[in-house]
Amino acid sequence: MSNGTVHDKMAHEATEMAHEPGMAHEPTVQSATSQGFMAPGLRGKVVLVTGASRGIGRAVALAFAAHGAFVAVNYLSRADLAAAVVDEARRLGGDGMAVQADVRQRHAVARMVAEVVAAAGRIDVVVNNALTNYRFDPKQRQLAWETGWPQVEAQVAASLGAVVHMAEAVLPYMQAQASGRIIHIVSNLVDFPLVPYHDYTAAKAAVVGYSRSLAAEVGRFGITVNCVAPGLTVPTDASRPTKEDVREQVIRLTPMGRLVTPDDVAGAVLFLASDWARMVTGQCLRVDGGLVMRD
Amino acid sequence: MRPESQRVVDEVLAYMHRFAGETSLSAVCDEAFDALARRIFAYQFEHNPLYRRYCQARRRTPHTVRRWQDIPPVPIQAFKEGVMSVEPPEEAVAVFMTSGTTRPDRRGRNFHPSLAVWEASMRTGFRRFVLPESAVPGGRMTMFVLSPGDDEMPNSSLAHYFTVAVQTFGRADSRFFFRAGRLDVDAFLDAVAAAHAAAQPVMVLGATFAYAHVVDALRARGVRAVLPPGSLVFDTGGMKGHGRELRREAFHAWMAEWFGVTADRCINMYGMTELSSQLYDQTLCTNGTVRDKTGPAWVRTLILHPDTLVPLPEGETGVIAHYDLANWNAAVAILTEDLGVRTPHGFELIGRIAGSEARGCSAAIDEVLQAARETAGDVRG
Amino acid sequence: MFVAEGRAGWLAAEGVIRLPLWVVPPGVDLTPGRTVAVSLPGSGAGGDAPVRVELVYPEVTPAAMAGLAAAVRKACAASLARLKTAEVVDWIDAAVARWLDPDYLPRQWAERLLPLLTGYDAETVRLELKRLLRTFRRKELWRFLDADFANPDVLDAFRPGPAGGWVRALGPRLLVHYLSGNVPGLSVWSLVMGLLVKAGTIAKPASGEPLMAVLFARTLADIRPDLAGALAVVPWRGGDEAVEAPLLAQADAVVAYGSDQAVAAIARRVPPHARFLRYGHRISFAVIGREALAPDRYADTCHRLADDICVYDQQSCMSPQVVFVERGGAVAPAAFAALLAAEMERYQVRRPRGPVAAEEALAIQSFRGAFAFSGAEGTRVFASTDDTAWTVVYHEEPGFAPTPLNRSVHVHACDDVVTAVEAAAPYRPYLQSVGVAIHPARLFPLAERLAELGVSRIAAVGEMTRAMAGWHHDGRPNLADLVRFVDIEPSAERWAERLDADVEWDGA
Repeated sequence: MSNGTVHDKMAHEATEMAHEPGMAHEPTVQSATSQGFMAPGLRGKVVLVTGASRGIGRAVALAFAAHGAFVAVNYLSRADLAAAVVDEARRLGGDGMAVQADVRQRHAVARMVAEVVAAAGRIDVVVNNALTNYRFDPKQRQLAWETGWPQVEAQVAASLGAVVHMAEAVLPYMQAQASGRIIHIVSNLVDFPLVPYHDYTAAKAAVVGYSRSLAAEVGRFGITVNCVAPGLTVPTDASRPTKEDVREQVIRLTPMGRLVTPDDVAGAVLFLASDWARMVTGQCLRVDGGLVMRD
Repeated sequence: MRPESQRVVDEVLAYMHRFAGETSLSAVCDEAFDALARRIFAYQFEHNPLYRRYCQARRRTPHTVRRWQDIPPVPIQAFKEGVMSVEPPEEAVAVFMTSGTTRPDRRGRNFHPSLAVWEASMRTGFRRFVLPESAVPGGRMTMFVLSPGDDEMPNSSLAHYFTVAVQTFGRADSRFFFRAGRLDVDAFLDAVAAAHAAAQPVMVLGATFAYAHVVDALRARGVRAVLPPGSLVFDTGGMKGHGRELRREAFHAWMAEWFGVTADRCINMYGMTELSSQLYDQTLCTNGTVRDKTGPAWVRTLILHPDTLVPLPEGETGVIAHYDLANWNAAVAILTEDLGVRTPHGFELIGRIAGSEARGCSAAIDEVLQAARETAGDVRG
Repeated sequence: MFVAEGRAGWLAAEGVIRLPLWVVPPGVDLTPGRTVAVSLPGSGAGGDAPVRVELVYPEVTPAAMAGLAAAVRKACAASLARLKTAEVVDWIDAAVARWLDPDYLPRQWAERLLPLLTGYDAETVRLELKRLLRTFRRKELWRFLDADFANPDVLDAFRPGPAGGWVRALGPRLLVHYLSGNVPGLSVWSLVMGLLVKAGTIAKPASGEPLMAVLFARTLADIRPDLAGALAVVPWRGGDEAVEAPLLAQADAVVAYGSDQAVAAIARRVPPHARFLRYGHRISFAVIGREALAPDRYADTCHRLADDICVYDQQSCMSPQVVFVERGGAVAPAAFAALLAAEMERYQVRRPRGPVAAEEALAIQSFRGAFAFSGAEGTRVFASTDDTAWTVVYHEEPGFAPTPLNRSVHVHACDDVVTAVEAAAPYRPYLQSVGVAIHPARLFPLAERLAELGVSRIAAVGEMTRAMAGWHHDGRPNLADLVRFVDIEPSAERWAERLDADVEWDGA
């Protein structure tokens, strides 16, 4: 399989993938609410989703909006896409704002969080979804003996750095509220490196470890920290290079018999942000159709 | 005033004009009330950072508030501790303050950048409940006021109320009997005697405790001050905080005994410095059949569960919250410290909550505050 | 379940349990009066049906009260007053031993009924009752005696006095207790203090908790029927002067718990010859030094503090209403306040606060409102979202003010707790317990400051509401305050020697 997590391209060259109107960007978030199915405790919540202009981040943001939340839609460069997500969020009965920041920059994250709090008065949920540029191409991946510390270091700095910056920025607010939810989007590659992207997987594993130790400390403040580990998620921009052969291979191995959609991931994220999961922390919830089964 | 404030004022005035004859209970204004209440809420949310923070902590924002009942009411303590004003408070043309009988150092303040809405509310409500055509043909009366006017007490909303009442609805021979810091009972008795001789109906107005003062004087002198036929008695405030309990029935008995006025000619007003409108019993507009209180069409009253602040059904006692569109500058929703119960015709006031007697041996707050004051006094003395 | 035991016992009839709420000496009869019914939910096991329990109050007439007071005085003189202290200790210890048995039926009834009567969380009642009763085991009872008497034998006979001569201590023949109900079972404390000095006892339970004193007195009477006459528990309508007059006229001492006003009202009716001990309202607070906010300590500190605040819904005078938190620890005071808020919320999930009256709820709403709109920089209100279950108000500066209780607390940041506690000075007459979490080197300087401020008890944070045996309640020697000392001066002793015909004096 290829990538577990496909997120907003935080790439400097964000042009790699074409916009796919009507498909990748039209998740069916309304379905949940049209069935009268509302996760408790999300109405009025202030949710910051990083990398929310596209892909999984967008689906998560819109799912929150459909539950009446205020979503801060973070983006790196595509202000137009972020603005469209905010419009859509309002149409779905939520509210929101677009907020630019490069989540790899500590000061930028601090500024973004301050902006969100200034606008919305608080910050209840953070979804660390943004992904630095990574090309999930099984045919062109770097082999183990080609992957040196500089590559791994760059991935750790980007993946782990982003969530550490975010924790640093939001914890004062969440502590002061005596409540908060931090959710990291990681990857099932950590458990099952079907396609071994060494640098990427190592960095995501670091996020999982950090997430657990963070959970241990901040639980006393009423803050939960959890991870969601999707399998190969389509359609997203970043999963594009993962071709049909690998996709079929993943499907054959998956009990549920299909690939993950962004909405599937959003469901797990909403669960962890809802009152239903108030006693769940330090966990990693796999959303991969049963591909990985373990404690 | 910022232009947006002027727009809000205009909308409120238009609403008042449109629904002048209605009351809080009129379903005909449901939709308009809801729309304007939420509009004012959004406006106050935007321009009052203290209130915005309070609402955000409760996840109530213009986006999550879908009906006027969702607007978080501001506890009246806020008027003591903070500045509840959308417009700059220093530009207010009037600042009404609570009497501060319980804590003189901490008085609640309501800033009025303009009195246009306040006075329109007062006049419209007064005409609707106190001077209905059925009870007072012609709409003007000789008014004898036992409490100060606004020349005596410029920061009292009640004083301003009486002044506007006399200016708007009083005949030329109306008088204030509270002058230079004291109530001139003799002058009042003389005036009543003169009115009686002339068979000129009067409306006596005053705070409830002012009547207590007069009754004490009458009792001491062993005389009555019988009002001419057709007269009315208007009181407000009750006796809480003045060292006496006085039930409504007892007040009516006084009026009958000392003023010769029957209960169906007595009206009680319920007002608060923190509001910009007043509520009334419906004695005069229902020929004495309904004593429950209600307000004009731009005020709605909820009875909330004291623990959860969830609205209670009819018949259950809870804390009173008022939603007053005329309070456009301060707070459209106010959480009082009064207990009441909702009835088919409005609500009934049960009383003000005193410092609660704690269940056990831990210090009851009032007791300790008293001790602290005494200690502080010792130090100064 | 209780079975019918005759006159003074539990009368079961047609599935209804009737609990008479009084215990009187044999020979005194009170007529059953009004009844308050309580429905106990079934245990759930085996389809247990709910049990209807009727609490029966007695009719108390002035004549009955006069007879009761006389009977207790007489019985005390004839039995209790003649016991050795060690026998009294044995007696109380035996009763406590029964109560510390989880299978003891009265304890089971107390555990089931007290939560219904008081509104307190059942688990709290169960745990705290056990903890409280452990304070009265034999070894602890001796601690009480030794705390107040250099030689407790003075309660039994004349013993040599420290300044020559001989000393004897006599308890009151009739001690009247006006008990309080804020903490279930605290009535036992008062009863035990009286019995330790062999006082004939008539206790009036609080209206809110009429049960525990009766149950415990019944246990005592069961163990020593010969002493039962010296102990009575009777509820009567507070302030009924016709009933109280014949009682107070015969009392040697009166103990009263309650608000200043309530206690003062009782004081006015106590005749001048009787000793009057009052335990009025008190305020307690907590002091958290930076040492208790180290990375490995802060969570535990907070947990213990929340327990002090929340247990019995803060109705104990020993529960803190104000917390001073020092800057310079690993957790800043503001973060500690947030942590405390989260802890209070968890406590609420685990042991929900009892229902509160409208006035109490509104007092909390008003309390929150006042600080939510405070202009003071940094002031923050943390509060339960949907109700008044708990409230934490954080302040950037030291200060001191009581709260509306029911789990509401002020947290004040300060640079140095030892100086910050000065803020409590205006409340001097009311200060009682202080919970501390502070480095040993600073404990005594702090304790000196607190002592000067008027505080009477310093305990660990987490133990604030559990006073140890021998505690000087509100700073007084509780047992010594109850007794009357009799001195034989050395002159009498010497003179007596002279009157011994066999004595031959070598002097003139």
